[in-house]
Amino acid sequence: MLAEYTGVLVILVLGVVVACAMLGIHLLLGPRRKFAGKHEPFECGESQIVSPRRRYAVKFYMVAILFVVFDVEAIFFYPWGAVFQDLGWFGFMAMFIFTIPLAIGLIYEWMKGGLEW
Amino acid sequence: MIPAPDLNLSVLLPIILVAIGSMTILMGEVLLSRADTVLGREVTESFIGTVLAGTAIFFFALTLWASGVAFAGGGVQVFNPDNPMYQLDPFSSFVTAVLALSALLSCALSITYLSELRINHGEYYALIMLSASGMMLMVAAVDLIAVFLGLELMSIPIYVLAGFDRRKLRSNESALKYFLIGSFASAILLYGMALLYGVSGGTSFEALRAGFDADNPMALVGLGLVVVGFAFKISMVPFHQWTPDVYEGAPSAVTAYMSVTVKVAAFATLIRLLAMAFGPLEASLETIFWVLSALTIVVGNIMAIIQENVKRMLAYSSIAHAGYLMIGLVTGTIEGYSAMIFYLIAYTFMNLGAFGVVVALANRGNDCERIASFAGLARTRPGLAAVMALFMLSLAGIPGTAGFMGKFKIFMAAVNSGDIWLLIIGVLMSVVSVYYYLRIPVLMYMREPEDESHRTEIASGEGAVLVVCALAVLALGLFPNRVPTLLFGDLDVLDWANRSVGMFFGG
Amino acid sequence: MTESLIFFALAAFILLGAVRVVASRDLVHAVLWLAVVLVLTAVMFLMLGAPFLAGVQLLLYTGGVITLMLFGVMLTRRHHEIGVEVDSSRRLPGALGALALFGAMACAIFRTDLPAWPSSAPVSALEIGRAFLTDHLIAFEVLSILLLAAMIGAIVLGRQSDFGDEPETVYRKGGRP
Repeated sequence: MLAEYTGVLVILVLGVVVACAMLGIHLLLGPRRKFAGKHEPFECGESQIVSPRRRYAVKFYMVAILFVVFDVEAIFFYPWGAVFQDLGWFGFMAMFIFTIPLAIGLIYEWMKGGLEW
Repeated sequence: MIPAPDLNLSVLLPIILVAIGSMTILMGEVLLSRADTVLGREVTESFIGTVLAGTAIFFFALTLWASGVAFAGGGVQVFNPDNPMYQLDPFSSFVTAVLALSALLSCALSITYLSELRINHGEYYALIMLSASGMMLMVAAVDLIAVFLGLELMSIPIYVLAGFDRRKLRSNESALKYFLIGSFASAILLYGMALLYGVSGGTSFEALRAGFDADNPMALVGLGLVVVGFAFKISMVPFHQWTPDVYEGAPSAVTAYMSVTVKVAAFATLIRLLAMAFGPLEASLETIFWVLSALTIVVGNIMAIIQENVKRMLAYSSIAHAGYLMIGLVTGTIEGYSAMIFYLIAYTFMNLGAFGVVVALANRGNDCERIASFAGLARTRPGLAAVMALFMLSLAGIPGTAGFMGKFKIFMAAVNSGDIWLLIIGVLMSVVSVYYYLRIPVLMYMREPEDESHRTEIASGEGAVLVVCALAVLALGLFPNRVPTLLFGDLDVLDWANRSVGMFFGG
Repeated sequence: MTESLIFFALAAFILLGAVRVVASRDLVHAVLWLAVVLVLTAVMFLMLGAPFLAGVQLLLYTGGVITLMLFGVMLTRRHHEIGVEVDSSRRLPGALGALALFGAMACAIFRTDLPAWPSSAPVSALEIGRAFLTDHLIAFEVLSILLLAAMIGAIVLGRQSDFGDEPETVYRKGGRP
């Protein structure tokens, strides 16, 4: 069942091995010197002014939600593409009707400034 | 080449109408908010809202007409004969008509209330229509997939509607609570459906009915999970804790809508599930429903006594009414089911009316929520006080009102199927309920007014809704089998209720 | 044999990840553990002969939903200092309840004679497409309306300008708005 995915597994294992090896070799061979500068976050030589961990704007979230909605939509296009030729005009019409509410949603979102930054 | 299925599009007419309505409203909102004047009138926010509410009412009226015609025609039609997921039959068209009517009334009720809150946006009506289309799908579904899709399409817009008044923290809280509990319930429901699918190998009600026998443990567990999922939606005890918080925090107009329509849709779906899909399991369900029904009636009524907030009191009262309705599920007879349908209609009018009065009293978005604030209302707003008293009497089940007729039918069904104890509990708790329902009329008629924070004039939409509800409560209570109308002759609502559920019993 | 071995290993890791999701003190860790669970579930779908679903699971859940959750955590004020309350006095009753439910369900499932299923050859996107557009057409079309509802809901609740005023209380204690 899973035999055809052996390649994926091999790549996964290789990735893990390489990553671990790089860290391990560094630990074994690398020289270790401690000084205060090493504990500061690297920021082009400047010390930081504000904490990077502050609240993000809601806009990010809006974009992310809308991305997920359209992501779901895109996924439903994929099986339609697979049977497009077999179903002909019927499939086309079905898909067309499927897109109408989403097109209206997109127009609404656009006109209402949901996409503005 | 795959042959195209032989589809019957006209079956979908109610849902198509409502869906087109919601998209029209969205486009109208976009176009109107970019225009300065329309037909010489200046475009203000409340003008847009009113026009779009009118659009929603128009489409709901069309839906009401379409499903009424389908109900009069009778017969069973399916959308896709190869795999019937959606079925237009007397039951679904009748419940669809009830849903369309109550959504129509809710829209009319909302206009002024939302304008005062400065949230009279088109999205509100679009969301109401979308959730109504979900309910209509759910009550006509004969397949678990369609039931689940309908349930989600019903719930998601209502989560948003509960938080529609975004400036109020309580409204936000209400939306969040309802969303969390609701998605939890959906997950449980889905788990149950997955188990049922695993046992029977199909998702259609037909496959479920043929797929297992009465003592199949996995089917029982699946059924239990499905019932729990619905129990959250109809706020059955012990799955009711969210109800008072959500009803209290949501804008009153939204509470009016959701308290009525969600219950109608969920109970109708339960009836269909029990009658069409779970036939062999009905015996084991009866005991569960018996216990849950008794619990719901008792807890709902007892908790309602100690409430000081009208919306919370009405929330617990709606829990109690869910308990009375469940008696019909316990009986499992045609009499019980038709009594449930009649009760749901009566409940629609009296509950919409009661919340309508709360909406009509809200002053610039300040809900008159304390029960004490009803004191002396008969002096200051005699008309509103009169209809509120009528709705309270009806909710309490005083003879002459729709509430009494509904309870009478339900209790009769219980007696005829031998559930004497359920009858006793129901009647005892109805007596208890008289105490908290009558508190409001007593305050309104026998106390002096204490503050003048109510709105002083009633909007035409609210007035019309209250008059319709009050007349319906009286007519259904006095002559349920020949409700007089000026236009359509006498209506026999009892016979309709019988006919709608008759199809499950080969009628 | 190997198949059931893989299954049990997978199930054990999913279970472990799920426990870490609810027991992590740091919300970001919880979300990352959830990502692990979702990826492993995708592998489970592969094993069950549903490669399309596995792809959807990876694309949507690990790609979309996890990103969404991370954004959600970052939107929340000072998440890194708060530490989630995971010690509850109701931990024991909760665990007992969950165990009882698990026992009842496992018992019910094992005692049921499941119908013989046809061999589970992998379901291709082709077959899914055909099912969507013929047998389940209505579900397919309703889905787009459902997505529309979700989209409007997101915009109504998330939009900042042009839709009423600010919330009555703005969270400004500590941290910038």
